[in-house]
Amino acid sequence: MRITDAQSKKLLEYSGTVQLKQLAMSFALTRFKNKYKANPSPEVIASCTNDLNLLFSKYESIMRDDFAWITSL
Amino acid sequence: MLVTPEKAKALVESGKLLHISGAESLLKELPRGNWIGGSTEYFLGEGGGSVTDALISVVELPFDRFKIVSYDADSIAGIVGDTYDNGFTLAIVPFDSPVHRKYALESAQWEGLYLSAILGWVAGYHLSSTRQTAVTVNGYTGAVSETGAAALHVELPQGKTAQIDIINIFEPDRERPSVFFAEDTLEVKDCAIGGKVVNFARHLRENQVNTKLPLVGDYSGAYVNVSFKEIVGDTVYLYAPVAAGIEYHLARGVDDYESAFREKLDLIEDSSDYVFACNCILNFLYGGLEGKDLGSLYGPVTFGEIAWQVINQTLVYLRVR
Repeated sequence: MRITDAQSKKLLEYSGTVQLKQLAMSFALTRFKNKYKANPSPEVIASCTNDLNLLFSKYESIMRDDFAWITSL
Repeated sequence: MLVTPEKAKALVESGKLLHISGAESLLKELPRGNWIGGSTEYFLGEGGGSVTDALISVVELPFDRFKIVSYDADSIAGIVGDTYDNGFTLAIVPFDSPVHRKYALESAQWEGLYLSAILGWVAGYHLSSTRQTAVTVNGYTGAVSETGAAALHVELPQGKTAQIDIINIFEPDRERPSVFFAEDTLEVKDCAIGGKVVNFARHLRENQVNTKLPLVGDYSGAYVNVSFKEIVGDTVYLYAPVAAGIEYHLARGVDDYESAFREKLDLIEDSSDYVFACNCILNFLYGGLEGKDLGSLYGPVTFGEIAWQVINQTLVYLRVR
């Protein structure tokens, strides 16, 4: 379960209803959205990709639904 | 489970890994061992919500790889680095202490926070007491502290995962305008409501807002509560910080807290893997939960909850799957 920078960018720019199940993912995404709003740079996108992929690899068994939603955007 | 001090002492002496909550005076009498503790006299247990300074809540944690660490305000940011790669951390901070304020205001910015599983609670005291203080206990060293946090870092066996979640019975009242804050703070003067900068205290008074209901922040679809402590002059004091860049609404009212919790608890499948839970004292008091049995999520009733960051008016629980 890995996302790309392009998927992170889509997620960071997404303004519709968010459908995440894991609170850690909601907190992490909120933090990155705020960072991206202040600095919409490739570095912030890459950092977001890196952290979300770490979350997916560490918590693979409980993050499947969130991964599926993010990659469906 | 709620047990007598004698039974709690025996459990500590058996060498088991324990989370203990109870009256400050009872915690101070327990022997050293593999435990952390925090003060409260409010509990959710088998017989429903209760208030007691005669019994102690003991949660047995069936894990054998762990470390118990104390932190003060200067060292608390190190809690993230001390977590196990696969595990969870259960932390207790004393209410209104420097370490509580530091954790509340800064934890959301700590690198790697959300990559770890950190939960916990804010220790308190009986609300009618003027002599008690909120304390935490590092049972391993025997250190009782009014200013420092006690944390239990647990390493899980391969194939097991810690999952922290919350039960929040409140929803944003979207018929009211959204509220934004310019900075992360526990003490608010101005905020932006409906695009206009206003004094928050004046707004709450003029609109006769029920401050027993929390502010609900929208964290990418997850609703996270911040509770009102008091309004003094032109300043609103909060039990957890509001954050810049988050859209808040005042919460919609809840008629029956017990039913609201039960409805949410019924949505959770298999409860056999619960490890720990705590619930907010404001839910206990405003919802009249004394004597009400909310099901199998037992534990301390607290002056604030930690689910990575400090939150309020929420039930926080941990399961290991």
